[in-house]
Amino acid sequence: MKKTDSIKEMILVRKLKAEDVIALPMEAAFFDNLHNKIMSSVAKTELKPVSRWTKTRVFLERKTIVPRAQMRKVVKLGITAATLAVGLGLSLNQKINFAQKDLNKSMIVSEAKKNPAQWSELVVNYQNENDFYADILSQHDLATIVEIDKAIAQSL
Amino acid sequence: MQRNIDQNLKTDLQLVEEVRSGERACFSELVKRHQRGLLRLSMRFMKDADIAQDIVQEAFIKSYEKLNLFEGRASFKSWLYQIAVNTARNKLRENRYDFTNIEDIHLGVGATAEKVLVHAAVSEIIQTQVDRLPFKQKTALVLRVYEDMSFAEIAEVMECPYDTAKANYRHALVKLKETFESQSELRKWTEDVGGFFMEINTKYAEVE
Repeated sequence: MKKTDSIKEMILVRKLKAEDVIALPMEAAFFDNLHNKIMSSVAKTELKPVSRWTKTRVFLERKTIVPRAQMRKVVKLGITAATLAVGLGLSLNQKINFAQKDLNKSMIVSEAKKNPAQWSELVVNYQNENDFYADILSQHDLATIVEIDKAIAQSL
Repeated sequence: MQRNIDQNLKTDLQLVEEVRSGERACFSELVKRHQRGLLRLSMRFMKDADIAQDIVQEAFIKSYEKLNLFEGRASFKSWLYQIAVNTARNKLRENRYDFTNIEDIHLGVGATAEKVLVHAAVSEIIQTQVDRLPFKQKTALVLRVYEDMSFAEIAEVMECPYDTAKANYRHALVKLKETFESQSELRKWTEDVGGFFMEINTKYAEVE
């Protein structure tokens, strides 16, 4: 920091003080009134007893270097990050599963065309052939079913 | 009468101890000692005197309720100011106060009254610029400049490390300095009517 800057700041502080706009009421009656109002509220209030847990919490709060608000932010960020990671991870996993399934499917179809006799063995990762058809039907891919049917019919 | 004199001689900590032991009336002396300072502080955050009074009242009630949590590590004053600052911040959040815009300050008046009004407007601009600071910076500035608190006390009030309190104060000053230096409108008024900015600019020029 330049020396001129700090001197400028000192001047600024002095001037800010000199131009203070806050004017407190001067009448003693005003403060007597305020005091009475506060004390009548205090009269209705009880001192809260301190439990062991409260003492521990206060002690821990004092010992933490990170201020409470910052700590809350960190916790919130952590939860958000964890939620995002889980969400992203699941959707990524789902995408990989779908991609793998598509690959399997195309492999099964091409192998079935080459060797329709082994058709049943090829769809072993599905429970049975009907499941495989149902899966392809769900994707409105009738052409594949027709193709496989043709291949199987020709082999018979 | 004698009792009042006795209470006047007691320190804040002694009075706090007596309140804890059941002497509710001793709290009255603590209120008398700190209500002015607390009201002044609250008025810096709230433009409305009635809301400032509410904050003072709320701060005293909260401090009474939580008196058993006061450990005496910081002074009672710092602890009380901490409660008041937090109460003010919560009120500001609830109400989302709008501060005066510089453009809204109307100066179209007769030449004789102009000087007085411009001076008032300049004071208002200063206040507006202070109000526009982020809450932490404003708190540090207010406590240091207007309440003459040490950085250690400011750190206690703001519940932050010493260096953070100091950094907030410095950032506030730098921001204000830059704002005042960059406003051409203020320069013009400075030439016209003197006062705050005239002196600031003259002294800045001397320094440079």
